[in-house]
Amino acid sequence: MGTESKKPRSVWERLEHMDPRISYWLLIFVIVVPFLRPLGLPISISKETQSFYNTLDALRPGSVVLFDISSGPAAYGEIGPGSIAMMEYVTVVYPGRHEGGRLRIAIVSGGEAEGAIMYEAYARPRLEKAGFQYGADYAWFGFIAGGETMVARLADSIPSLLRNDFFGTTIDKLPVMKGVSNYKDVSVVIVWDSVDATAWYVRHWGAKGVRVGTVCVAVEIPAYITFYRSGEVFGIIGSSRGGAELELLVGKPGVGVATTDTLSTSHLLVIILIIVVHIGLLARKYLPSTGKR
Amino acid sequence: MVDYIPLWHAFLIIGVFSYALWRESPYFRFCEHAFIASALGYAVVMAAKAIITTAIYPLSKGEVIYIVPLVLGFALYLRFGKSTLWISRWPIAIIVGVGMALGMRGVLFAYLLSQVQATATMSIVTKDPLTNFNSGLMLLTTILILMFFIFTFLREAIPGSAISRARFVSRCLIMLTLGAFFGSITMARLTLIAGQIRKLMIAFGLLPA
Repeated sequence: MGTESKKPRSVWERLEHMDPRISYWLLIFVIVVPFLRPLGLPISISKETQSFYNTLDALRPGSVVLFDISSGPAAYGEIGPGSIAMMEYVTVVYPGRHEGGRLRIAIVSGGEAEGAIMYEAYARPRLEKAGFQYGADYAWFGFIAGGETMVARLADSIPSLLRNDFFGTTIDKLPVMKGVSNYKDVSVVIVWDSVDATAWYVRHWGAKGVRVGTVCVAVEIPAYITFYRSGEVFGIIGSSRGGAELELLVGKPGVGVATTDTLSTSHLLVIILIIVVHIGLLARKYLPSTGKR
Repeated sequence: MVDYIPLWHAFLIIGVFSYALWRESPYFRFCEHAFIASALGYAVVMAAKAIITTAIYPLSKGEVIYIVPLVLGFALYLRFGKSTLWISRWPIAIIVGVGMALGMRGVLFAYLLSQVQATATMSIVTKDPLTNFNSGLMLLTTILILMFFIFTFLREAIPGSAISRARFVSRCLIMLTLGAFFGSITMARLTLIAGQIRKLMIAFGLLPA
Protein backbone atom coordinates (compact mmCIF):
# COMPACT_ATOMS: atom_id res chain seq x y z
CA MET A 1 0.00 0.00 0.00
CA GLY A 2 1.15 3.45 -0.83
CA THR A 3 4.54 2.52 -2.27
CA GLU A 4 5.26 4.06 -5.64
CA SER A 5 8.41 3.82 -7.71
CA LYS A 6 8.25 7.49 -8.78
CA LYS A 7 8.12 10.27 -6.24
CA PRO A 8 4.96 12.39 -6.65
CA ARG A 9 5.67 15.94 -7.82
CA SER A 10 2.78 18.15 -6.75
CA VAL A 11 0.57 18.30 -3.67
CA TRP A 12 -2.30 16.95 -5.78
CA GLU A 13 -0.26 13.99 -6.92
CA ARG A 14 0.73 13.33 -3.34
CA LEU A 15 -2.94 13.38 -2.39
CA GLU A 16 -3.76 11.04 -5.25
CA HIS A 17 -1.13 8.61 -4.05
CA MET A 18 -2.08 8.96 -0.40
CA ASP A 19 -1.96 5.75 1.58
CA PRO A 20 -5.62 4.63 1.80
CA ARG A 21 -4.99 3.59 5.40
CA ILE A 22 -4.84 7.28 6.34
CA SER A 23 -8.43 7.79 5.15
CA TYR A 24 -9.57 4.72 7.12
CA TRP A 25 -7.91 6.05 10.30
CA LEU A 26 -9.53 9.44 9.67
CA LEU A 27 -12.87 7.69 9.26
CA ILE A 28 -12.45 5.90 12.59
CA PHE A 29 -11.56 9.22 14.22
CA VAL A 30 -14.63 11.07 12.92
CA ILE A 31 -16.83 8.18 14.09
CA VAL A 32 -15.30 7.84 17.56
CA VAL A 33 -15.40 11.54 18.47
CA PRO A 34 -19.21 12.03 18.14
CA PHE A 35 -19.77 8.86 20.16
CA LEU A 36 -17.69 10.35 22.98
CA ARG A 37 -19.00 13.91 22.60
CA PRO A 38 -22.44 13.83 20.87
CA LEU A 39 -23.10 16.83 18.64
CA GLY A 40 -26.85 16.70 19.24
CA LEU A 41 -27.78 17.56 15.66
CA PRO A 42 -31.56 17.82 15.16
CA ILE A 43 -33.38 14.79 13.73
CA SER A 44 -36.54 15.46 11.75
CA ILE A 45 -39.17 12.74 11.39
CA SER A 46 -39.69 11.68 7.78
CA LYS A 47 -43.13 10.94 6.30
CA GLU A 48 -42.19 7.29 5.81
CA THR A 49 -41.36 6.80 9.48
CA GLN A 50 -44.41 8.74 10.67
CA SER A 51 -46.64 6.68 8.40
CA PHE A 52 -45.11 3.45 9.74
CA TYR A 53 -45.87 4.53 13.29
CA ASN A 54 -49.38 5.81 12.50
CA THR A 55 -50.39 2.67 10.63
CA LEU A 56 -49.35 0.39 13.48
CA ASP A 57 -50.99 2.69 15.97
CA ALA A 58 -54.27 2.56 14.06
CA LEU A 59 -54.49 -1.25 14.27
CA ARG A 60 -57.12 -2.59 16.63
CA PRO A 61 -55.96 -4.76 19.53
CA GLY A 62 -56.04 -8.40 18.50
CA SER A 63 -55.05 -7.63 14.92
CA VAL A 64 -52.72 -10.22 13.43
CA VAL A 65 -49.29 -8.98 12.39
CA LEU A 66 -47.11 -11.22 10.25
CA PHE A 67 -43.59 -10.37 11.14
CA ASP A 68 -40.83 -11.59 8.82
CA ILE A 69 -37.24 -11.39 10.04
CA SER A 70 -35.32 -11.47 6.78
CA SER A 71 -32.07 -10.07 8.04
CA GLY A 72 -29.11 -11.40 9.95
CA PRO A 73 -26.56 -10.05 12.41
CA ALA A 74 -24.41 -8.73 9.54
CA ALA A 75 -27.06 -6.07 8.92
CA TYR A 76 -27.57 -5.32 12.60
CA GLY A 77 -25.77 -1.98 12.42
CA GLU A 78 -28.49 -0.78 10.08
CA ILE A 79 -31.53 -2.82 11.05
CA GLY A 80 -30.82 -2.86 14.78
CA PRO A 81 -32.00 0.59 15.87
CA GLY A 82 -35.26 0.35 13.90
CA SER A 83 -35.96 -3.21 14.99
CA ILE A 84 -35.37 -2.45 18.67
CA ALA A 85 -37.56 0.66 18.45
CA MET A 86 -40.26 -1.33 16.67
CA MET A 87 -40.22 -4.04 19.34
CA GLU A 88 -40.38 -1.32 21.99
CA TYR A 89 -43.43 0.10 20.26
CA VAL A 90 -45.18 -3.27 19.85
CA THR A 91 -44.47 -4.51 23.36
CA VAL A 92 -44.70 -1.34 25.47
CA VAL A 93 -46.09 1.71 23.64
CA TYR A 94 -48.93 0.02 21.75
CA PRO A 95 -50.46 -1.71 24.82
CA GLY A 96 -50.05 1.56 26.73
CA ARG A 97 -51.98 3.49 24.10
CA HIS A 98 -54.70 0.83 23.67
CA GLU A 99 -55.70 0.10 27.25
CA GLY A 100 -53.44 -2.93 27.53
CA GLY A 101 -54.62 -4.46 24.24
CA ARG A 102 -52.00 -6.35 22.31
CA LEU A 103 -51.31 -7.24 18.72
CA ARG A 104 -51.14 -10.93 17.78
CA ILE A 105 -47.74 -11.62 16.27
CA ALA A 106 -46.73 -14.49 14.01
CA ILE A 107 -42.99 -14.45 13.38
CA VAL A 108 -41.25 -16.22 10.51
CA SER A 109 -37.90 -15.90 8.85
CA GLY A 110 -38.47 -16.07 5.12
CA GLY A 111 -35.47 -14.53 3.44
CA GLU A 112 -32.55 -15.16 5.73
CA ALA A 113 -31.72 -18.29 7.73
CA GLU A 114 -29.85 -16.06 10.18
CA GLY A 115 -33.17 -14.43 11.07
CA ALA A 116 -33.33 -16.94 13.91
CA ILE A 117 -30.35 -15.21 15.55
CA MET A 118 -32.09 -11.84 15.27
CA TYR A 119 -35.24 -13.36 16.76
CA GLU A 120 -33.36 -14.79 19.72
CA ALA A 121 -31.32 -11.63 20.28
CA TYR A 122 -33.81 -8.83 19.71
CA ALA A 123 -37.40 -10.05 19.40
CA ARG A 124 -37.94 -12.81 21.97
CA PRO A 125 -36.24 -11.11 24.96
CA ARG A 126 -38.35 -7.97 24.50
CA LEU A 127 -41.57 -9.92 24.06
CA GLU A 128 -40.88 -11.95 27.18
CA LYS A 129 -39.82 -8.91 29.19
CA ALA A 130 -43.10 -7.19 28.32
CA GLY A 131 -45.08 -10.21 29.51
CA PHE A 132 -46.18 -11.49 26.11
CA GLN A 133 -47.20 -15.14 26.38
CA TYR A 134 -45.72 -17.54 23.87
CA GLY A 135 -48.50 -19.23 21.93
CA ALA A 136 -51.17 -16.80 23.12
CA ASP A 137 -49.63 -13.48 22.03
CA TYR A 138 -46.92 -14.55 19.65
CA ALA A 139 -45.48 -17.58 17.89
CA TRP A 140 -42.15 -18.26 16.24
CA PHE A 141 -42.03 -20.45 13.15
CA GLY A 142 -38.31 -20.24 12.37
CA PHE A 143 -36.71 -20.13 8.97
CA ILE A 144 -38.97 -21.29 6.16
CA ALA A 145 -37.06 -22.05 2.98
CA GLY A 146 -38.27 -21.04 -0.46
CA GLY A 147 -37.89 -17.27 -0.59
CA GLU A 148 -40.45 -15.67 -2.86
CA THR A 149 -42.18 -19.01 -3.52
CA MET A 150 -42.71 -19.40 0.21
CA VAL A 151 -44.11 -15.87 0.52
CA ALA A 152 -46.56 -16.48 -2.33
CA ARG A 153 -47.69 -19.78 -0.84
CA LEU A 154 -48.05 -18.22 2.60
CA ALA A 155 -50.51 -15.66 1.21
CA ASP A 156 -52.77 -18.43 -0.11
CA SER A 157 -52.64 -20.82 2.82
CA ILE A 158 -50.84 -20.14 6.06
CA PRO A 159 -51.59 -23.47 7.86
CA SER A 160 -50.36 -25.52 4.89
CA LEU A 161 -46.92 -23.98 5.23
CA LEU A 162 -46.71 -23.13 8.92
CA ARG A 163 -47.85 -26.52 10.17
CA ASN A 164 -45.79 -26.39 13.33
CA ASP A 165 -43.98 -23.67 15.18
CA PHE A 166 -40.21 -23.81 15.65
CA PHE A 167 -40.61 -26.11 18.66
CA GLY A 168 -42.87 -28.61 16.93
CA THR A 169 -46.23 -27.47 18.34
CA THR A 170 -48.92 -27.80 15.69
CA ILE A 171 -50.53 -24.55 14.56
CA ASP A 172 -54.01 -25.56 15.80
CA LYS A 173 -52.62 -25.65 19.35
CA LEU A 174 -51.39 -22.04 19.17
CA PRO A 175 -54.17 -19.64 20.25
CA VAL A 176 -52.42 -16.73 18.54
CA MET A 177 -52.98 -18.42 15.18
CA LYS A 178 -56.65 -19.19 15.78
CA GLY A 179 -58.70 -18.22 12.74
CA VAL A 180 -55.63 -17.31 10.69
CA SER A 181 -55.85 -19.18 7.42
CA ASN A 182 -54.61 -16.84 4.69
CA TYR A 183 -53.73 -13.23 3.81
CA LYS A 184 -57.29 -12.07 4.58
CA ASP A 185 -56.75 -12.73 8.28
CA VAL A 186 -53.53 -10.73 8.51
CA SER A 187 -53.77 -6.97 9.10
CA VAL A 188 -50.23 -5.96 8.20
CA VAL A 189 -46.91 -7.51 7.31
CA ILE A 190 -43.70 -6.09 8.74
CA VAL A 191 -40.35 -7.14 7.34
CA TRP A 192 -36.91 -6.64 8.85
CA ASP A 193 -35.26 -6.71 5.53
CA SER A 194 -31.76 -6.94 4.13
CA VAL A 195 -32.49 -9.32 1.23
CA ASP A 196 -35.27 -7.68 -0.81
CA ALA A 197 -37.97 -9.66 1.03
CA THR A 198 -40.23 -6.60 1.25
CA ALA A 199 -40.57 -6.68 -2.54
CA TRP A 200 -41.72 -10.33 -2.32
CA TYR A 201 -44.47 -9.36 0.09
CA VAL A 202 -45.44 -6.35 -2.03
CA ARG A 203 -45.74 -8.62 -5.06
CA HIS A 204 -47.78 -11.38 -3.39
CA TRP A 205 -49.48 -9.82 -0.36
CA GLY A 206 -49.66 -6.17 -1.38
CA ALA A 207 -51.35 -7.20 -4.62
CA LYS A 208 -54.10 -8.75 -2.48
CA GLY A 209 -54.55 -5.64 -0.38
CA VAL A 210 -52.41 -6.45 2.66
CA ARG A 211 -50.33 -3.48 3.80
CA VAL A 212 -46.59 -4.04 4.07
CA GLY A 213 -44.14 -2.12 6.26
CA THR A 214 -40.40 -2.48 6.28
CA VAL A 215 -37.39 -1.94 8.49
CA CYS A 216 -34.73 -2.08 5.82
CA VAL A 217 -31.08 -1.40 5.01
CA ALA A 218 -30.12 1.84 3.28
CA VAL A 219 -29.42 0.19 -0.06
CA GLU A 220 -33.08 -0.80 -0.35
CA ILE A 221 -34.56 2.62 0.41
CA PRO A 222 -34.48 4.04 -3.15
CA ALA A 223 -36.32 0.95 -4.43
CA TYR A 224 -38.91 0.91 -1.65
CA ILE A 225 -39.61 4.64 -1.84
CA THR A 226 -41.42 3.98 -5.11
CA PHE A 227 -43.59 1.38 -3.33
CA TYR A 228 -44.26 3.88 -0.56
CA ARG A 229 -45.35 6.58 -3.00
CA SER A 230 -47.68 4.19 -4.78
CA GLY A 231 -49.18 3.08 -1.46
CA GLU A 232 -47.92 -0.49 -1.66
CA VAL A 233 -45.69 0.01 1.40
CA PHE A 234 -47.20 1.84 4.37
CA GLY A 235 -43.95 2.88 6.00
CA ILE A 236 -40.20 2.59 5.77
CA ILE A 237 -37.77 2.57 8.65
CA GLY A 238 -34.64 3.07 6.58
CA SER A 239 -31.31 2.13 8.11
CA SER A 240 -30.16 3.58 11.43
CA ARG A 241 -31.43 7.04 10.50
CA GLY A 242 -35.00 5.71 10.22
CA GLY A 243 -34.38 3.80 13.43
CA ALA A 244 -33.39 7.04 15.16
CA GLU A 245 -36.63 8.66 13.98
CA LEU A 246 -38.71 5.75 15.27
CA GLU A 247 -36.83 5.85 18.57
CA LEU A 248 -37.85 9.50 18.95
CA LEU A 249 -41.48 8.71 18.06
CA VAL A 250 -41.53 5.85 20.52
CA GLY A 251 -39.95 8.14 23.13
CA LYS A 252 -36.91 6.01 23.83
CA PRO A 253 -33.75 7.40 22.17
CA GLY A 254 -31.16 4.68 21.79
CA VAL A 255 -28.53 3.34 19.44
CA GLY A 256 -30.07 5.03 16.38
CA VAL A 257 -29.97 8.53 17.84
CA ALA A 258 -26.42 7.92 19.10
CA THR A 259 -25.30 6.75 15.65
CA THR A 260 -26.87 9.62 13.70
CA ASP A 261 -24.16 12.13 14.68
CA THR A 262 -21.45 9.71 13.57
CA LEU A 263 -23.23 9.26 10.24
CA SER A 264 -23.20 13.02 9.71
CA THR A 265 -19.48 13.38 10.48
CA SER A 266 -18.44 10.32 8.48
CA HIS A 267 -20.47 11.46 5.46
CA LEU A 268 -18.85 14.88 5.78
CA LEU A 269 -15.43 13.23 5.64
CA VAL A 270 -16.40 11.19 2.57
CA ILE A 271 -17.70 14.35 0.84
CA ILE A 272 -14.50 16.26 1.71
CA LEU A 273 -12.36 13.41 0.34
CA ILE A 274 -14.42 13.31 -2.88
CA ILE A 275 -14.08 17.10 -3.30
CA VAL A 276 -10.33 17.05 -2.63
CA VAL A 277 -9.76 14.24 -5.13
CA HIS A 278 -11.81 16.05 -7.78
CA ILE A 279 -10.01 19.33 -7.22
CA GLY A 280 -6.77 17.42 -7.65
CA LEU A 281 -8.06 15.80 -10.83
CA LEU A 282 -9.11 19.15 -12.30
CA ALA A 283 -5.88 20.83 -11.21
CA ARG A 284 -3.82 18.12 -12.89
CA LYS A 285 -5.92 18.46 -16.02
CA TYR A 286 -5.92 22.25 -16.38
CA LEU A 287 -2.76 23.42 -14.58
CA PRO A 288 0.35 22.26 -16.48
CA SER A 289 2.62 22.97 -13.54
CA THR A 290 0.84 20.34 -11.46
CA GLY A 291 2.02 17.54 -13.67
CA LYS A 292 -0.60 16.83 -16.33
CA ARG A 293 -0.18 13.37 -17.78
CA MET B 1 -18.65 -12.82 36.64
CA VAL B 2 -16.85 -11.29 33.65
CA ASP B 3 -18.89 -11.16 30.43
CA TYR B 4 -16.46 -12.37 27.80
CA ILE B 5 -18.79 -11.93 24.82
CA PRO B 6 -18.04 -8.19 24.23
CA LEU B 7 -14.32 -8.96 24.47
CA TRP B 8 -14.69 -11.77 21.95
CA HIS B 9 -16.59 -9.30 19.70
CA ALA B 10 -13.77 -6.79 20.11
CA PHE B 11 -11.12 -9.40 19.31
CA LEU B 12 -12.85 -10.33 16.04
CA ILE B 13 -13.75 -6.75 15.03
CA ILE B 14 -10.17 -5.52 15.53
CA GLY B 15 -8.95 -8.55 13.56
CA VAL B 16 -11.16 -7.71 10.58
CA PHE B 17 -10.38 -3.97 10.77
CA SER B 18 -6.65 -4.75 10.90
CA TYR B 19 -6.75 -5.55 7.18
CA ALA B 20 -7.76 -1.99 6.25
CA LEU B 21 -5.95 -0.17 9.03
CA TRP B 22 -2.69 -2.11 8.94
CA ARG B 23 -2.23 -5.01 6.52
CA GLU B 24 -3.15 -8.63 5.97
CA SER B 25 -1.89 -10.78 8.81
CA PRO B 26 -2.45 -14.22 10.38
CA TYR B 27 -4.68 -12.46 12.92
CA PHE B 28 -6.91 -11.12 10.12
CA ARG B 29 -6.95 -14.48 8.36
CA PHE B 30 -7.96 -16.26 11.55
CA CYS B 31 -10.92 -13.88 11.98
CA GLU B 32 -11.87 -14.20 8.32
CA HIS B 33 -11.80 -17.99 8.42
CA ALA B 34 -13.66 -18.09 11.73
CA PHE B 35 -16.40 -15.94 10.18
CA ILE B 36 -16.73 -18.09 7.06
CA ALA B 37 -16.66 -21.33 9.05
CA SER B 38 -19.30 -20.25 11.55
CA ALA B 39 -21.55 -18.83 8.82
CA LEU B 40 -21.31 -22.02 6.77
CA GLY B 41 -21.87 -24.25 9.79
CA TYR B 42 -24.95 -22.28 10.72
CA ALA B 43 -26.28 -22.36 7.14
CA VAL B 44 -25.87 -26.14 6.92
CA VAL B 45 -27.75 -26.70 10.19
CA MET B 46 -30.58 -24.34 9.20
CA ALA B 47 -30.87 -25.90 5.74
CA ALA B 48 -31.07 -29.39 7.27
CA LYS B 49 -33.72 -28.21 9.73
CA ALA B 50 -35.72 -26.62 6.90
CA ILE B 51 -35.68 -29.88 4.92
CA ILE B 52 -36.77 -31.87 7.97
CA THR B 53 -39.58 -29.44 8.85
CA THR B 54 -40.95 -28.81 5.37
CA ALA B 55 -40.52 -32.19 3.70
CA ILE B 56 -39.40 -35.10 5.88
CA TYR B 57 -41.81 -34.42 8.74
CA PRO B 58 -44.94 -34.31 6.52
CA LEU B 59 -43.64 -37.35 4.63
CA SER B 60 -43.35 -39.27 7.89
CA LYS B 61 -47.00 -38.38 8.57
CA GLY B 62 -48.03 -40.11 5.35
CA GLU B 63 -48.09 -37.20 2.91
CA VAL B 64 -46.27 -39.00 0.12
CA ILE B 65 -46.43 -36.03 -2.26
CA TYR B 66 -43.45 -34.57 -0.39
CA ILE B 67 -41.26 -37.26 -1.90
CA VAL B 68 -41.33 -35.22 -5.14
CA PRO B 69 -39.38 -32.18 -3.84
CA LEU B 70 -37.01 -34.50 -1.97
CA VAL B 71 -36.23 -36.45 -5.15
CA LEU B 72 -35.88 -33.21 -7.14
CA GLY B 73 -33.58 -31.80 -4.47
CA PHE B 74 -31.44 -34.93 -4.54
CA ALA B 75 -31.35 -34.77 -8.34
CA LEU B 76 -29.52 -31.45 -8.12
CA TYR B 77 -26.48 -33.34 -6.82
CA LEU B 78 -26.43 -35.61 -9.87
CA ARG B 79 -24.70 -32.84 -11.78
CA PHE B 80 -21.41 -34.02 -10.26
CA GLY B 81 -21.53 -37.17 -12.42
CA LYS B 82 -20.97 -36.84 -16.17
CA SER B 83 -23.49 -39.54 -17.08
CA THR B 84 -26.17 -38.18 -14.71
CA LEU B 85 -25.65 -34.48 -15.40
CA TRP B 86 -28.75 -34.28 -17.60
CA ILE B 87 -31.02 -35.32 -14.72
CA SER B 88 -29.97 -32.29 -12.65
CA ARG B 89 -31.35 -30.00 -15.38
CA TRP B 90 -34.91 -31.00 -14.54
CA PRO B 91 -35.03 -29.56 -11.01
CA ILE B 92 -33.19 -26.46 -12.23
CA ALA B 93 -35.77 -26.04 -15.00
CA ILE B 94 -38.58 -26.34 -12.46
CA ILE B 95 -36.94 -23.80 -10.12
CA VAL B 96 -36.43 -21.32 -12.96
CA GLY B 97 -39.93 -21.91 -14.34
CA VAL B 98 -41.67 -21.43 -10.99
CA GLY B 99 -39.51 -18.39 -10.23
CA MET B 100 -40.34 -16.81 -13.59
CA ALA B 101 -44.05 -17.49 -13.22
CA LEU B 102 -44.17 -16.07 -9.69
CA GLY B 103 -42.09 -13.10 -10.71
CA MET B 104 -44.31 -12.31 -13.69
CA ARG B 105 -47.45 -12.53 -11.58
CA GLY B 106 -46.13 -10.20 -8.91
CA VAL B 107 -44.11 -7.84 -11.06
CA LEU B 108 -47.09 -6.92 -13.23
CA PHE B 109 -48.91 -5.62 -10.20
CA ALA B 110 -46.11 -4.18 -8.08
CA TYR B 111 -43.86 -2.68 -10.71
CA LEU B 112 -46.24 -1.85 -13.54
CA LEU B 113 -49.91 -1.44 -12.68
CA SER B 114 -49.45 0.16 -9.26
CA GLN B 115 -46.68 2.47 -10.40
CA VAL B 116 -48.59 3.59 -13.49
CA GLN B 117 -51.72 4.10 -11.40
CA ALA B 118 -49.82 6.06 -8.74
CA THR B 119 -48.20 8.29 -11.36
CA ALA B 120 -51.43 8.83 -13.28
CA THR B 121 -53.44 9.75 -10.19
CA MET B 122 -50.74 11.88 -8.62
CA SER B 123 -51.85 15.37 -7.70
CA ILE B 124 -49.40 18.13 -8.56
CA VAL B 125 -51.53 20.91 -7.10
CA THR B 126 -51.60 20.72 -3.32
CA LYS B 127 -51.12 23.20 -0.49
CA ASP B 128 -47.57 22.04 0.14
CA PRO B 129 -45.17 23.60 -2.43
CA LEU B 130 -42.51 20.95 -1.77
CA THR B 131 -45.00 18.17 -2.51
CA ASN B 132 -46.00 19.96 -5.71
CA PHE B 133 -42.36 20.28 -6.74
CA ASN B 134 -41.64 16.62 -5.97
CA SER B 135 -44.74 15.42 -7.83
CA GLY B 136 -43.97 17.60 -10.85
CA LEU B 137 -40.37 16.40 -10.88
CA MET B 138 -41.50 12.79 -10.65
CA LEU B 139 -43.91 13.22 -13.55
CA LEU B 140 -41.28 14.93 -15.68
CA THR B 141 -38.68 12.30 -14.78
CA THR B 142 -41.08 9.49 -15.70
CA ILE B 143 -41.76 11.00 -19.12
CA LEU B 144 -38.12 11.83 -19.84
CA ILE B 145 -36.78 8.45 -18.81
CA LEU B 146 -39.45 6.65 -20.80
CA MET B 147 -38.35 8.78 -23.73
CA PHE B 148 -34.73 7.73 -23.18
CA PHE B 149 -35.63 4.06 -23.49
CA ILE B 150 -37.55 4.40 -26.74
CA PHE B 151 -34.97 3.15 -29.19
CA THR B 152 -37.07 2.88 -32.33
CA PHE B 153 -37.26 6.37 -33.75
CA LEU B 154 -35.81 8.68 -31.09
CA ARG B 155 -32.35 7.13 -31.22
CA GLU B 156 -31.53 8.89 -34.46
CA ALA B 157 -32.61 12.33 -33.20
CA ILE B 158 -30.84 15.24 -34.87
CA PRO B 159 -28.13 16.71 -32.61
CA GLY B 160 -29.33 19.96 -31.05
CA SER B 161 -33.02 19.13 -31.57
CA ALA B 162 -35.53 19.18 -28.69
CA ILE B 163 -35.59 15.38 -28.56
CA SER B 164 -31.83 15.21 -28.41
CA ARG B 165 -31.74 17.72 -25.54
CA ALA B 166 -34.48 15.87 -23.70
CA ARG B 167 -32.49 12.66 -24.02
CA PHE B 168 -29.46 14.44 -22.53
CA VAL B 169 -31.56 15.62 -19.56
CA SER B 170 -32.97 12.12 -19.08
CA ARG B 171 -29.44 10.70 -19.09
CA CYS B 172 -28.55 13.16 -16.33
CA LEU B 173 -31.62 12.06 -14.37
CA ILE B 174 -30.61 8.41 -14.68
CA MET B 175 -27.15 9.33 -13.41
CA LEU B 176 -28.73 11.18 -10.48
CA THR B 177 -30.79 8.09 -9.65
CA LEU B 178 -27.71 5.88 -9.75
CA GLY B 179 -25.97 8.48 -7.58
CA ALA B 180 -28.79 8.15 -5.04
CA PHE B 181 -28.21 4.38 -4.99
CA PHE B 182 -24.48 4.95 -4.53
CA GLY B 183 -25.22 7.37 -1.67
CA SER B 184 -27.42 4.76 -0.02
CA ILE B 185 -24.67 2.16 -0.29
CA THR B 186 -22.18 4.61 1.24
CA MET B 187 -24.59 5.27 4.09
CA ALA B 188 -25.08 1.53 4.60
CA ARG B 189 -21.35 0.85 4.83
CA LEU B 190 -20.71 3.79 7.15
CA THR B 191 -23.56 2.68 9.41
CA LEU B 192 -22.06 -0.80 9.61
CA ILE B 193 -18.63 0.60 10.50
CA ALA B 194 -20.17 2.93 13.12
CA GLY B 195 -22.06 -0.03 14.62
CA GLN B 196 -18.89 -2.10 14.96
CA ILE B 197 -16.90 0.81 16.41
CA ARG B 198 -19.67 1.35 18.94
CA LYS B 199 -19.39 -2.31 19.96
CA LEU B 200 -15.62 -1.88 20.36
CA MET B 201 -16.11 1.19 22.53
CA ILE B 202 -18.62 -0.68 24.69
CA ALA B 203 -16.19 -3.59 25.05
CA PHE B 204 -13.44 -1.24 26.23
CA GLY B 205 -15.77 0.59 28.61
CA LEU B 206 -15.75 3.86 26.66
CA LEU B 207 -19.53 3.76 26.16
CA PRO B 208 -22.30 2.30 28.34
CA ALA B 209 -23.77 -0.97 27.03
